[in-house]
Amino acid sequence: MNCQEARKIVHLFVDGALDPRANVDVLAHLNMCGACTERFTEARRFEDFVRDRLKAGPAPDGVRARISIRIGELSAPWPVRMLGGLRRRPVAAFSGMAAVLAVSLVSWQACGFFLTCPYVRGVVNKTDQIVDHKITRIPDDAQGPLRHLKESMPDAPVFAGMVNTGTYAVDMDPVYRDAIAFSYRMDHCPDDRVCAVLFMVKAPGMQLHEHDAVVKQGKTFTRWEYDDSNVVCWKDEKRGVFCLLVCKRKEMEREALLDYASLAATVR
Amino acid sequence: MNKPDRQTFEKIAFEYVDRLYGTALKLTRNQNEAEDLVQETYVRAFQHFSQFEQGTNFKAWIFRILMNTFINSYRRKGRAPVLVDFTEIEPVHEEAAHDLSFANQPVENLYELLDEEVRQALERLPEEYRMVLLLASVEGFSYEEIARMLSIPIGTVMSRLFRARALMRKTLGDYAKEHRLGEAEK
Repeated sequence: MNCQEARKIVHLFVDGALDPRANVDVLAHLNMCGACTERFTEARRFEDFVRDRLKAGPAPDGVRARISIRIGELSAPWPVRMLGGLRRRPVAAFSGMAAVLAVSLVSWQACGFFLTCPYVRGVVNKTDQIVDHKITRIPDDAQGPLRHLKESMPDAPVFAGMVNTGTYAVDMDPVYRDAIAFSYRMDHCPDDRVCAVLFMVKAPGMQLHEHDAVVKQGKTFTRWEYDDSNVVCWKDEKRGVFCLLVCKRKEMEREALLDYASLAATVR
Repeated sequence: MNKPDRQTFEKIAFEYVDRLYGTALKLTRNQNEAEDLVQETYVRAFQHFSQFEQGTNFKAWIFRILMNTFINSYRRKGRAPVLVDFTEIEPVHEEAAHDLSFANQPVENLYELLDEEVRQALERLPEEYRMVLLLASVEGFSYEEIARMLSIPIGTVMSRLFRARALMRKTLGDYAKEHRLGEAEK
């Protein structure tokens, strides 16, 4: 290893991110090069200095107690939890209840409210593998397959979303931040219009956040055509399979998702 | 789903209150928001505690929840949806080689700066850089753990970290220079 090579990886060395062999090479070089030793020492010193100056002090008094009370409320039976919510934020609690009531009445007309909506919960239950999902309108500046999809159906309300078959909860992965921002339910899709759902099949060991890369690369894997819906999938050996489901009629969505279930089985 | 065991959760999780609060404060730069952020993090962690795999790194797990909560709820309210920017995946080594000419140069008086000044320099960093620097330099997470927490490629973690350090060094170098000039005028 020469000086130029060593200096390229000074930060990796300081962060302990080099593999053991590269580490040995660096140490061997530093043993015989005073100038590089100085640079490496300086990088380490700076890192230690920043860590030392920014290290966390104690949290303010009462933070632990407040968290503990909140968790206690969450562990309590639901009537107690409701009372806790009322006590803490009475206005928000009443507004929330009013909003839920209003949404229930509207949704009842659309699809029978959350628990019985066949286009979200019903399908999810059918596969027994999907743990969560988000549906979102495809943004205007979408690229790749989503863009093609949107352009091919300019007059259709097109939605994209993810169905997570993995072990992470939706709100625990920032990949869903876009979905949250656009949050849209499939049951808003009118019966006589074309809808699309992008969903994802998680392969063992894959990281959820990588889905963007696969979609953008647009590797066409396979395509199913139905009278009223299409499914296009992209496969990446390392990352898994990603599918775009285009439903022209709501009734077909269930059938397409059943195929998705068999597809999911192939990557597990 | 079984209701998580409160006692077990608190025993494991409360060890990280100070660290989570410290990071939250540096992210939000506001004491009230930092407290709310930490509390929300704990609520979410408790609600999803059954999904935590025993024997894996709890600290990384709860920090991931903290970062997600921050990104989703506290960061620039009213923001537009963010898509992964693949132009950010840069050949970090080349950049490092190019910039090392100044990045690791010793700066006179730099190490005499105070906590407050280093904190100010941190606050001047763009948010993306600040998050990576806090997670790597202060909390000691690996590139891979940070990539998972922030849902960005490892290459992006490396390039952001490199830039964050270079910017910190530059800002701190300027502070040190101001000190020297101030001393000279006396």
